Amino acid sequence: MEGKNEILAALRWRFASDSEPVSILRDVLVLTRRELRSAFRESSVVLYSVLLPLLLYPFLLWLMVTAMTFIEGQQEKRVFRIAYHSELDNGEYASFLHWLASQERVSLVSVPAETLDLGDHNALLTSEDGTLNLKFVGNRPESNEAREYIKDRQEEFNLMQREKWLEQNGIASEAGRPFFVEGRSTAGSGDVGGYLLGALLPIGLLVMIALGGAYPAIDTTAGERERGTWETLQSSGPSLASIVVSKYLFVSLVCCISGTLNLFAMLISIRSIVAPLLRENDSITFSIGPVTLLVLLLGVVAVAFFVAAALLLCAIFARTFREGQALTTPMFMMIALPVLPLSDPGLELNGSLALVPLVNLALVWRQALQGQYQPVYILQTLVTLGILIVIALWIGSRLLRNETLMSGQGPEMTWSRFFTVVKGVLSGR
Amino acid sequence: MDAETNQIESVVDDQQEKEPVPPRETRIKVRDLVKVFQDEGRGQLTAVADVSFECYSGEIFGLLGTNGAGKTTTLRMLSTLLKPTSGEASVMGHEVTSQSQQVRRSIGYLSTTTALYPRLSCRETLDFFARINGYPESKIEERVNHLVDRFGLSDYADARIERLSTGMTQKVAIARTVAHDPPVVILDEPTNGLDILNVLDFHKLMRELQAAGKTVLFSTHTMSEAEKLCDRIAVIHRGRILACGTLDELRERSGHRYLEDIFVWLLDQHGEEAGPELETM
Repeated sequence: MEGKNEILAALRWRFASDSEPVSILRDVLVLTRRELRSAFRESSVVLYSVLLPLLLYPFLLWLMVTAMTFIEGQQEKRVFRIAYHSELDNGEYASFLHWLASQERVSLVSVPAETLDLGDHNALLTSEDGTLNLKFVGNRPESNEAREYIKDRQEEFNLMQREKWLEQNGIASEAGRPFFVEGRSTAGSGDVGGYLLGALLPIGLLVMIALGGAYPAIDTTAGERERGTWETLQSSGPSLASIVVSKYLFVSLVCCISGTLNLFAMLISIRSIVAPLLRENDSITFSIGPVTLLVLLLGVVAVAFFVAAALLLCAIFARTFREGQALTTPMFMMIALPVLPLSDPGLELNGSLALVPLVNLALVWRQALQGQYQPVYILQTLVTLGILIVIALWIGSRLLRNETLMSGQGPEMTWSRFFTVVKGVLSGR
Repeated sequence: MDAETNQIESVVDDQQEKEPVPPRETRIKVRDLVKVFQDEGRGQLTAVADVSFECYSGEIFGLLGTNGAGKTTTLRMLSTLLKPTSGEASVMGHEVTSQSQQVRRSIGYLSTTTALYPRLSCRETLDFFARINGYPESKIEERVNHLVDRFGLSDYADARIERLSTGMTQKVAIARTVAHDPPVVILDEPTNGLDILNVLDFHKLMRELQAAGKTVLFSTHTMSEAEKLCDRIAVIHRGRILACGTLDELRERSGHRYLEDIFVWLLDQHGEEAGPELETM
């Protein structure tokens, strides 16, 4: 009982606010505005929290498309060097070889019949037991492409020969026409696009939100201690509660900004860069409805507030920016956690998964992009994240009782000291 | 009215000029203050032991001691940065433990470890600190302009702190400390690392504040500074106050003229030895 009273007295001292609620709100707004103003004048914050989320995906997609187009162009221009045994010149395949030699992308060379080695050729045509064989090197891309090319040309030649024979024999070409099986997806026009977006978007968004918030979280805690502005602020008017709330609000806002910019950048770049490439395929469109957009934005806000709480909780231990970076690094491993379950395309959000932080939100996003909304699980996800945020802030408030931690003094923050401090603080010492 | 009086007027609030401060109002009260640190390597360390003193309005009070004497810890407790282990302390009648926010709004605290936000301009800095310390919103702009003029910051008012010289930054730091026109100013070794011109400017400011009825509590290990500025001096050593009074009272008590001799005499009287820390004085 005495211990409890002591804790309450310490918290009252630390968080003491003699102001009216309106005054507290005003303090929080003034402090948050100062944080934002300072942060967006820092080039690293602008880079990691604005420019990277905004430009990374358009740049990567542009790079990908450019590379693909370049490779495709190179492939189209490529002339395959095909060798054939000279004995084929007079056999039943002579007409095919003659026709093949007339193709623009083929350089056909006759080699002695006993040659088995491809040499610097992409493929070698031989005849064994009356069958035309193609030798190629499976681990060479050019050789594989040559094989594909010759296979296609061979089918084309056979069809031509068939048409010619039918014509010579006075048979209508429609008779005995070979048939082909064509696959058609029954999915709606946006379903495939939603499926692709669901595979691409959630992990990228989570990482960008964390990346956007990391620098501000370290800067506003360890950075302040390192610069000496932490003490200036602590000896000023606002209560510690106002200071902590404003810092939390600031990091959350930056995370929200990063997430929102990244979301729109990703959607716009996929629609404007990827979609034109898939124009031939009518079954793929990337349209996002207002409900999906609302769910995505709601998720961005929830993740931003969750990630901000977690980042601040880690960074609060750091005395210097370098320590802050070391302590927040494990956060990124946690953020990448949903990669594993999301790799299963059949995985769906359920009551159990809705309790796993970040995995739940990633699944909510994925399903929303596929046009599936499960309000109960969405609510459960938000409540789970809300509870974890409250726990993180509660632990943070307990940590702030530690004068050494607050002042940023004491020995270097190693992992063993980190756990000792956490244990001590949580046990009320 | 001479030039110095004009400057005094510009650093204090108009409102306070009209209401003269009553003489000898107790602004800071410290009773049996104790601070014990739990050091991870060395166990319990008593930084401040049973320290008691009072500071009044219109007074410059000096806390004189060697490095590690407990000056900074005492001032940090008064500015609510540290929680006292035991004892009582109040500023403007507000207890530092239970009314910490009111204490912080009543003081301007400056130390070598209180820095400024490098990415804010001078004007933004003064505006921010006036605002968060509860200065009336309608008067903030006027106050900031006053301070910019008083401290000669006009040419740099919109420049970011990170682009200012050390001397200019120190001026902004001092202006920041008095931005909300606090009745009590607590300065921890304020002239450490300053060049002579800045030190003289700082002394002038302390005189201005005193003339405006403010209470200035400052710590120093420089004897000449304490002799020159302080109305009263508390000599602190190894966490204890050895003596407290005016310079004349200390002279009379010790029979020595110079503060340096008085200090050594006090150590001797209390069975303390002038250890190597005195070399820093």
